[in-house]
Amino acid sequence: MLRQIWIVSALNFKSLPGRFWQSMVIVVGLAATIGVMLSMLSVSAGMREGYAKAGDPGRAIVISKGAEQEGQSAITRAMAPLIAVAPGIAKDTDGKPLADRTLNVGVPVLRADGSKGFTSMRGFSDKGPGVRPELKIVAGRMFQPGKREIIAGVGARIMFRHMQVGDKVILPDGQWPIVGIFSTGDQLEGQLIGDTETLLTTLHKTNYNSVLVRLSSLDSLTTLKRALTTNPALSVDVMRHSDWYARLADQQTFALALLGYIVGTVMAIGALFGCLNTLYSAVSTRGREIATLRALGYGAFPVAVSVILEAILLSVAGALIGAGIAWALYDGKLDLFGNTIFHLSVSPKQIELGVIWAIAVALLGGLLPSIRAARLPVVDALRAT
Amino acid sequence: MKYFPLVWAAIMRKPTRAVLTLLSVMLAFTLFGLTIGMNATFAKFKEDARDDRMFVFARFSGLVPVALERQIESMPGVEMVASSSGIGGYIKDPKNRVFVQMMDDKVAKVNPEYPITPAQWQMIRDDRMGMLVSKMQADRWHLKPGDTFVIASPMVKKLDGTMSWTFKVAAVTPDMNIFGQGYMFGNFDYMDKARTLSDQSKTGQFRVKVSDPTKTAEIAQQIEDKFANSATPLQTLTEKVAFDVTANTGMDIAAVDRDVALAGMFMVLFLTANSLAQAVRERFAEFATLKTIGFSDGGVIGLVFAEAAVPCLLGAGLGIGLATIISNIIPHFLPPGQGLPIPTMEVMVFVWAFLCAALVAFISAALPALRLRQMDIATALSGR
Amino acid sequence: MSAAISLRNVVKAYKRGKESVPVLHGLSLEIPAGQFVSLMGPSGSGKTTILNLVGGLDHANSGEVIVGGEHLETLSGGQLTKWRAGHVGFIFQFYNLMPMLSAAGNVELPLLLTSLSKSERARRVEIALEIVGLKDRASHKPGEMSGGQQQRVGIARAIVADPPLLLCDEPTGDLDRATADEILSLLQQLNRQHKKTILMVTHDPKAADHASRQMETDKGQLFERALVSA
Repeated sequence: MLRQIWIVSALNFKSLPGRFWQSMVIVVGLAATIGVMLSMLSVSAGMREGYAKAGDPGRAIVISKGAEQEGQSAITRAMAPLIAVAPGIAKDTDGKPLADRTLNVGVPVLRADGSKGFTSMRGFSDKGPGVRPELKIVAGRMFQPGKREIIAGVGARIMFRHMQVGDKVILPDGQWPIVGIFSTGDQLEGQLIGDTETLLTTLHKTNYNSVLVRLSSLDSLTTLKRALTTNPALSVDVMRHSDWYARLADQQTFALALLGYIVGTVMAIGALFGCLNTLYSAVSTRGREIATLRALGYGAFPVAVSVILEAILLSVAGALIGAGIAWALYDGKLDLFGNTIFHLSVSPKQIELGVIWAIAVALLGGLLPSIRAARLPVVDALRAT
Repeated sequence: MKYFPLVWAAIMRKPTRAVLTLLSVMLAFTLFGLTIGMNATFAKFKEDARDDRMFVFARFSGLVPVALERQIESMPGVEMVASSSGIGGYIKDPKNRVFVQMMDDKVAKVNPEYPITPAQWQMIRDDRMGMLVSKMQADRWHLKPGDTFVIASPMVKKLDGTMSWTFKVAAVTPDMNIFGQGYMFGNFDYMDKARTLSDQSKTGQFRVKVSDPTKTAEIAQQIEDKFANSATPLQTLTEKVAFDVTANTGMDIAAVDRDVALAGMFMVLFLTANSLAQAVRERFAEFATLKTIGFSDGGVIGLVFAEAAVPCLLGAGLGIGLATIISNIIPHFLPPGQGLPIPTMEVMVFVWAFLCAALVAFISAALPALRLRQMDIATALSGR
Repeated sequence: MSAAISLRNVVKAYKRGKESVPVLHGLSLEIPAGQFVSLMGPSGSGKTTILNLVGGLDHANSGEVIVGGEHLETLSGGQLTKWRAGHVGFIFQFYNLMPMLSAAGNVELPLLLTSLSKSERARRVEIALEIVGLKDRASHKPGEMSGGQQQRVGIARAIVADPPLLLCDEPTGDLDRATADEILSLLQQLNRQHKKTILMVTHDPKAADHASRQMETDKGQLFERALVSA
């Protein structure tokens, strides 16, 4: 059986060049579909990846109860030390807990094209670098605590104006200089960082936004959570940092991803019909060849399979071409959406998705024609001109 | 047209092929409609934006004191300032997200184009718990005038420590273009008085109306400068920029839409060109016969073009129709404030669709038509 | 109405790639109006070429081709097309019908080129189908008919515009003996009763016998075969 399938399919592929342009209809259809879908998904996928990198599972974020974004959360000065001494938090080399009181406010910036935009201004306290060891200074130096100084991320430097070392950021009490550029390998690179306490004073605010802690172990989250949520003096939520960012990513990318999938679906159905068309015509063209094979004793099933294999070969080829184009055009490009800077992503996982879609289209589009091929009336087909 | 039976017979020679081609074309044009329709919506946003208005809010997040209203109003060129603040929450289930805008008395004057009658504005002034709900939202949550409902909003701190806000539906008002999924307007005072003391007399944003539209940008800058070193620095956003999706998100969505539509057209072009080339190849002898009967070159080419045009134009019409249906259904599945604009199928979308359809038909028919023109009748007939 | 055919010193060569293959070397032929002429000969001897030239489907390299008083060699491709529409009817070996049109639809085709009204066209189609004896099959498709019936439809189409000249290329080549005889009788009827000039190319001597004048081609030359009184 397998041998028959192999022979019939090989024969089919040999005759493919004679059906070149019709076959290209399938290839082009899938290339366009997958190319467009992956290009559109590169935005939501890129954003998700950016968020995923920023969310270290070894960290936990403590926000006020019910807050879904850092900016909505308020941790008072009274609450902060209570949080810091909770069990489950790792200790720094100096014996103090690795718990950082952070700030997250919106700050207006000028985008590279001159339009008005926003990004986040974060506040780090003394344990900031300890909790986020992935932060590296790539130019200039780190800001000094207590001083009115800012560092900007490498992404911000590319996407916004006036983000070089020496440029100034306007804050209520004057202009703060950018003294350094940092990289973190994640989403923070599109943002600015300063000293929490100094920023609080300048902005006339009194509350922190969150406390970011490094867990003593991945499992210590449960201990920490229990301790904090059962403390009557506190009204907080505790989430693993990776989960926190995953939820943010879901909220922000939902609409975009939906759009990408809708477009992809519509085009895939269109490609499906083109696929059906081509395969029906291919079966018709191969009429004599199929009839001859059947007359010689080859089964109907191998004939049917040969049609499906043709469908799969052509659609996967098209999908890979489309994915390749999307990858070449977009993967890795720095992009901006709202106040998030991220790298567009056409990852292997997505290309895999594209190939799976192609196979699905091939199976759906090849089914009916393959049945027709199997049922071809042998005698008539042999006699036909 | 007396030649139509001939064209129809040619198309229906292989009914499956004709139907599949039509369906494929239809889907490509559905995509076309959705994407270009979305661009039409964006264009309308920009059009609707007034050039004599701007939004003003805190520069570094947070609320701004309502008292600043008077200070801004006293600035030269500023006609009026209104306050509005939002409550984001849910009805019963966190999945049922809603967003209520609490408006003060002056919003009606700053935004006179809102389709809300003075009587309706008065309703929520008379009853502080009153709410004006737009039709789309009313349908979605099954609300009618007189109904009471509760919104849970964990983020707004209330004086009584709860997170629930009770509202009574005062009236159901017409939907607006800029609020794609509908809107809910409440009374600012109701929210203000119920908040924790530290948040009272504060608002999320001001709506500023200037008297001279040419001075909007200038006044915006003046406002920012005036409060730059104060306790609450301000940031302005003119309505023209606020409603410009590209400027807002930093992403040229209109270009993305266009590219997607073009990709769809390309796919269709390939399919129809191929289908037609194949059909003509199969029927070469028939075309030769027509020529012997006396059909001119132009006549035969016309038949081929008609054969291409029928599925293209029909597919375009059906596709845009389907796009219209989809864009009417989608809003009901999206949570409000998700920011996905609803495509509008306005006249220009139809026009563009038909132009593209005609172009695709023309290009598809070009090569076969050329072949037919060069055809040597004698050889074509003997080739049988 | 009848047409006289005159070929004077016609030369025709075909291009096969770069080669030029001569077929007719200064051929002359006179056919008076109203004659039924059969043309036989081996493949490549030029009989189909003569048919194509007389029908205005092809241009001679040199010489005169006069049909019904019209000098075809002076007409351009477009003019030839227009001329064909009212002056010639073609009948093919493999019928060349449109499979998706009914018999009536096929027969109507030449009339679509005229400015006749729909009812007028329908009337003439009915007459043509009646002459060939297929009035009751008007709405049937070619796929539902035998070879003989299909050829009758082809003949009906050829005469519906009432052209003075009929050109037949192996009209009975695909039919069995009995059916072939029916078709040939029909052609005779068209010649005798309706005064149509008919030029028929055929391989079949029995078919050729139905004509009133028989000719043969050989190596581009024309010979009289036998003069049979009608």
